[in-house]
Amino acid sequence: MEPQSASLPVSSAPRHPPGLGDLLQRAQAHDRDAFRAIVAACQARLFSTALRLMGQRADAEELAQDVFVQLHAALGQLVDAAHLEKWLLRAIYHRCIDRLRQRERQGQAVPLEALGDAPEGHAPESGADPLAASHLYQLLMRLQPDARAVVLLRYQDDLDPVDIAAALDMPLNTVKSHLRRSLQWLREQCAGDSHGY
Amino acid sequence: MDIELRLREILPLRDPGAAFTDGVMARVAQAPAVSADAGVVQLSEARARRRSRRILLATAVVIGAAAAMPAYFLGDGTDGPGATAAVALVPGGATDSDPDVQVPVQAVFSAEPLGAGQSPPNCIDPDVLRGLLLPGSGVTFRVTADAPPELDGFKPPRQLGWVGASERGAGTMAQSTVSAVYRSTLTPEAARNAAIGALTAAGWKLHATGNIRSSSVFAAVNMQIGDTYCRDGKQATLTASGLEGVTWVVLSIPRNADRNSGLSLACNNPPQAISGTDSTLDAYLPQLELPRDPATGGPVIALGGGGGINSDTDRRMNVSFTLKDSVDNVARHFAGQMAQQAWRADASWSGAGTAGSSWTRQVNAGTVLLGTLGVSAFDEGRFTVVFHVVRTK
Repeated sequence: MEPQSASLPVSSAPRHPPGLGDLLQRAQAHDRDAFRAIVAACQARLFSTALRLMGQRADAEELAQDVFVQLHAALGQLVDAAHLEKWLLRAIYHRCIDRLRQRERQGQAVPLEALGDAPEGHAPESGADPLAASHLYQLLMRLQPDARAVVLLRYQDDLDPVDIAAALDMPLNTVKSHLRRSLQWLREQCAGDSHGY
Repeated sequence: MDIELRLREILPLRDPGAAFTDGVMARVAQAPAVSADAGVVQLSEARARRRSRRILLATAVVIGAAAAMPAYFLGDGTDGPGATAAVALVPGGATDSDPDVQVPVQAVFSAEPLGAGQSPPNCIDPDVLRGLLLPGSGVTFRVTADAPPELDGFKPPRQLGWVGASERGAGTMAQSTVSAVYRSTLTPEAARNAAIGALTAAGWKLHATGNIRSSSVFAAVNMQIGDTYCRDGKQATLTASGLEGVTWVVLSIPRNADRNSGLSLACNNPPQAISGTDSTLDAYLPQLELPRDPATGGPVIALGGGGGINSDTDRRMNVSFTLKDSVDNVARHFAGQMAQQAWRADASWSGAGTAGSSWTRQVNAGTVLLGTLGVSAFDEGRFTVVFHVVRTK
């Protein structure tokens, strides 16, 4: 189900890494170890978002790495840890959307319906019904990328709608609309309906 | 089970592992080496894209340097400290000018070996230039391969490679500006010193250092205030700026500048008239760098800007640029720099189209500077930032 290899561990990294502000200040002073620590602290979050937007690990790794390289060049403009996190989320989102559109133009779009059936398997969370989890994941991957990004930031990253709107440069009402319609559609689908959103 | 809870359960964070981290660090370590080698930080993915960007940036340097010469508008004769020292990168008032002359600019690429399968463009598209760099402006912009005759006798040192010359406003304005552009692998300071040596040898004399620089708040690569040199009534302004690993040296020379054109050359005024600014205020002005464009990794290009010296105790500076970002983020970008330069935050606001903050800075026991930083967002990602500062005593 989820396009990942079995070697991918579930991250134990906190979603809001402590000390990120200090690391940022040190990285801005050209401390490479600090920048490495920033990458290590944020890579799970960025990679997970890219993986679930792109549906392919290779793409996700490439795009996430691109964003970190871009971040290194842009360190000087970041104010604090919150700014850094928002910058990263916005960058990965726009990169993924750009890549998806590029694929679409080139006729290389990965059918979203196929993403949920990727052959690499899924490691269900303990306590979760594997079949139900797989089914829900497949449904999630059928959401349009914009809507999927909103859902990911809400339930993967625990961001509230205001922060999602800021991170994705999206009007707050659009974020709320995506969330409401996505959840409604997912509920309907889990109840047996088969229409897409 | 509720759908929201189930979503949280199936969306754990996945760590790509240490190999991913190593990959990022390897790429980061590689970037400066490439920069030093090729003179360009590899921020774009395609070489062709980089070259296009370089053309535009080089052109922006030319335009900015040409327009950033200290200009003293005589107006109604209020010359002196109370007069406004305007630095206008994008003069208003579009005209129905003749189309720009498209001149081959092969010289721009002379120091850049072309990659396989690449061919140089025949000209800089004036529509692209106008759209990206001079939106709304009808000012003509010509690029030529010949050095301006005003620089007769100027022999640039070998470290400065000839790029070309541009003339801005020719044929449509009473006064135009011609700029000679050189590129170098030297640092900006070293390149500037090399150019100064050649200027001095050719009989040019330093008239004034960029005193307006002290009252320039917004720092953009294409918006520098240079030193003024004079020779036989002619004026040249020298700037040297580093941009993506390349140093650009620009000599800007006004043409047809006389009282009839409404523009007075600095060379026709005594140096002390130029430096009539209040050091107590100017010395404490913040230096604010423009944001970087996340799409390119490079600095945004200033589309316009300037400043006014309203009185000894009052300055107002502004700059415009385009950026795909929120007004709140842009305001935060500048606010962060204010805080780093010993300014104390007083209040801030953020709305749909404007954001800003107010600041104070204690100069001494009896003197406080009050600053207001305002950011306004317009259509298509265009921002205008205004910094207004007053001295209380």
